[in-house]
Order: sequence, then C-alpha cells, then structure tokens
Amino acid sequence: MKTNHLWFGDSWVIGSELYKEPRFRNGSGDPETGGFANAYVSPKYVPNATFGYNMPNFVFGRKVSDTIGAKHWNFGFSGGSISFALYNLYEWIKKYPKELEHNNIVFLSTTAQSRDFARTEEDLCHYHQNIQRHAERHKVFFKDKLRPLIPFSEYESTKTINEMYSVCKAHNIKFYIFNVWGPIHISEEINLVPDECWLIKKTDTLFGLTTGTNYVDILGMPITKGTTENEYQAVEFRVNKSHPIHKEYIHPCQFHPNLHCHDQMANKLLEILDAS
Amino acid sequence: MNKTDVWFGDSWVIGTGLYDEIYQQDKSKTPELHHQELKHTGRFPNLTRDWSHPEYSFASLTSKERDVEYINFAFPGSSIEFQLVQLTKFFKNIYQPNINYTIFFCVSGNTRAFFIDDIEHKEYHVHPKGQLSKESEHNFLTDKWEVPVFFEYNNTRILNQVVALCKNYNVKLHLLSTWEQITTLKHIDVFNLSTHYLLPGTLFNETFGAEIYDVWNDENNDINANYINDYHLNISGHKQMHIKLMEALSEN
Repeated sequence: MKTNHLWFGDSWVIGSELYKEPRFRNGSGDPETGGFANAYVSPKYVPNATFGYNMPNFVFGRKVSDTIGAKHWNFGFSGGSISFALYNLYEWIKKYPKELEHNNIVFLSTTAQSRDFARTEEDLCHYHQNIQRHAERHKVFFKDKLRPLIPFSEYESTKTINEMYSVCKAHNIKFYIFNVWGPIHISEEINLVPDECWLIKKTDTLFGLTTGTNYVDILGMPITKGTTENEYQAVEFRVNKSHPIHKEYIHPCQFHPNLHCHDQMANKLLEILDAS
Repeated sequence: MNKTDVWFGDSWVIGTGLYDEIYQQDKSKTPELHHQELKHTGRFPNLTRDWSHPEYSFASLTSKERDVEYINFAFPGSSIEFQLVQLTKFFKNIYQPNINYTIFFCVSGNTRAFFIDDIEHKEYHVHPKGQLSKESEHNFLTDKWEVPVFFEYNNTRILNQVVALCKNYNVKLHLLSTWEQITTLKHIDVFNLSTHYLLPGTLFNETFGAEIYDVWNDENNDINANYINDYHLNISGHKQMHIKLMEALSEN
C-alpha cells in the first residue's frame, strides 16, 4: 500500500534560506533567487513554497520520506502557525479524499505558539508578531486584541493540536508531533494527545538533539522565561554568527538550518522513527 | 449497559429563569436551598445561582422520558468553545467505556467565545453583552476578536473537533441548534456537519414555527405571551421543545 508522509510546520520544514547554499548558485547571477533548477516543486505536493526562497527538495522531512519510501507532501510555510498547519490538513482531506484510502502519516513540526491563522470566504489571514511580508501574500491580522493583555497561546495551541490529532484519528491517519527549533508549552488540563505521538520529549527540540545546543542560544532571541514573555511584540534578533554551532549548522543561512543541519536532523529523526 | 445522556449548551439547556417561575407560586424553598439541592445531585457541574431549574428544562425532561441517566454541563452565556472544553474534560476525566453515552451538543450564540489564560489559568467567557453570570468566579468579557468575520471559521473548527471526538470515542452525537444556527465554512467542513444535526432548523423554530428574534421583537406575539419569560423559555415552553425533541429522536 502507498504511504503518504504529510509534513506540517514553518520555514524550517519548507527549507527557507537554503538558496544561500553555494551549490544552488547555479549561474543565474542573482543570489536572492539563485538555484531555480533545484527549487521547482509541484504545487500539488508542496503548496506553500515561495519559489526561489524555499528549497523543499532538500529539507530534513524530504530525506526522511525518501529513505522510508513514502510520498512526500510538504505544507510548511515561512512564518506559519500550528493553526495554519491544521487548515492545510483540512484542505488536503477536502481536496484529495481518495488519498485517505492509503497509509497516511502526519508529521507536525511545532512552531511559535503565539502565531495564528484564520480564514474567511475570501481571505487567508495570518498572525505573526514579526513578519510583515506575509502581507504580500496573505492578509496579516491581529486576531485577538486581548492577547497582549491576557495571553492565551498555550490554550489556543493545545486546542489546535488536540484538533489535529482528533481529526487525524477520525480519518485513520497516524499522527506524530515534535518540536524542531523551540519547545512548546502544552496545557495539560485539556491535552488529549497521547505521549506516544510525541517523537521527542515536549521539552526537547530536534535541533537541540541534533546539535547539542538550544537554537535560542544562537538566535539571540530575548527570551527569559517561558513562551509568554514578549510573544506579542516584534522581536529583534541578534544572531550569534561567531557561535561554532552557527558556523556548522546555520551558515550560510542566517536564521535557518543549512543543508548539513537538515541532513543531520533527518538522520536523527530516522533514528528515532526506527527506534519506535 | 448503562445509558447516559450528556448535555452541553447555554442558559436554554440549563433552564435559566425556571426556578423564578416556580418560586413565584411556592416560596417554601429558598433559592439558595434549591441551588444546594441541585448541586448535590452531581448532574449539573456548571450550575450557577441564576434562578435556573435544569430539572424542568427540555434537556432533563427528554432524558427522563428516555429513561436514562443524565449529566448537564450547560452554563448560562456559554459559547460552543466553552462547551468543547467541557466535552474535552468529559472524555479526559469522566468517560467510561462501559457506559452507553449519547451526546447532545446544543449550539449556542455565534459570536461568543472562551479561552484560558496562560499565566493564571483563569477562564474567560466572551459574550457580546458582557457580564451575564452571577457567579463571581466566572470572568466575562465583551470582546475577543477584533474582526468578527472569523466566527464561521472558529465555529466550524469547534464543531469539527466535537464530531471527531465523538467518532474517536465511538459515542452517539446529536448536534442541535437550540435558538440560533451556525453557518459553517465549507473550506474546512470535513465531516459534512449538516448531517450531524438532529433537526434542520433550530429547536425553537421547529417547535413554534417562528424565529426567536422575531418573537423577542414583538411584545404582542402569542409565543412571547405564552412561552417566553424575559429572554428564555418558561416551563410550558420547555415542555413544548421537549415534545418536539422526542418526536425528532423517534424519527432518527
């Protein structure tokens, strides 16, 4: 039976900044859009890629799917939220009902809990505290004006993850979840997702397990406690480019994993999947 | 196998105002004693001191006639989001596989919402009319969404989760619009939600042949005079809705 791997997440899943790798500068002359030949992906299987900026053919999820022999679907989106991941799952179920007859596995790579998404009949609307460029493709919205006063991202994201798990289960889809760059805070009071769905501990990240270093230490992100601090205000990153882990696993990218890091993260995930 | 009906809804389902009607005729039992007696049954986890009498609501009347045990999680001013949290906690903490449950998920107002604060874990209800509950421990706010156009998206997501949960726990579900209907957003309606409703219209409309807003706006309306007490049904009104509900269940 055919196996589909459905990958959901943010820029890390879709391969943002990978065009900066020297091997993709194929003579087009434009480093910002270089590597067109390697960048093309089918919009059916990778609907949210930004052509020339994301390189989903080279991400860790693709290597995992290819190694296992599964069809790789990639719904990652730069700056994407867990809610947008759920929306993409809904769209996939609605658009491709025949795929439900196959063996389907969802991999949800968590993103920042303060991000959000909603849609109307006409518009797709994202909430992200930092990325104004989403306005170029979709309307940016600030859904909850109460949020800066009364933060409730843990509740919202736990509710959304519950929903993604339940909808998968109701459609006989296997559900896996893991943190890739930042840990997530789950509201255990309403959590319905069994621990066995977590490929790694809720407090760990794939990047951390792969490199032995917390991503936020390299990012220079001004986080002091938990997820709720400053999460509704734009954050100015001060990337620590002299950090040896940045040199090995990030450079020539600025904020995202390089090819070597994607490769190592894929190996780590394969090791975890093999063990489970 | 034991059978239990589990009800979720707002003031209409918990029977807000019904004890007021009884108390006008018979003052032998104080509202506080009445509240304490109901609280001790364990059947009404979200009971408030707002003159409700859930035993006279269409929900209890229906379960009694079905001759089954019942739990009623309804709460005045509730959103379907709060109802989903109650349903989630029901499956997490109360559900027993050896009991044959029927879930009655009675849809409430479109524009209401609910959330839990990350830091203090306080629960907040969002209601366009603000403070409704007389329970001080419940926090009511008037506004959560800056742009109200997301209601269809949010409500469809909630109902999707309700259907998915009941399917996953193999529990019978009846969606019911009590007094207002929710429009679903077709882009994410993966369970064909309209097929899960017990009745095509609201229970109020199916019972009385009128829309609640028209009745509210017409003081001389017969339905208003005979079956409504303030913004809620009176005891006779609940009986009528119960009869209609039993009819719908017998045809289902």
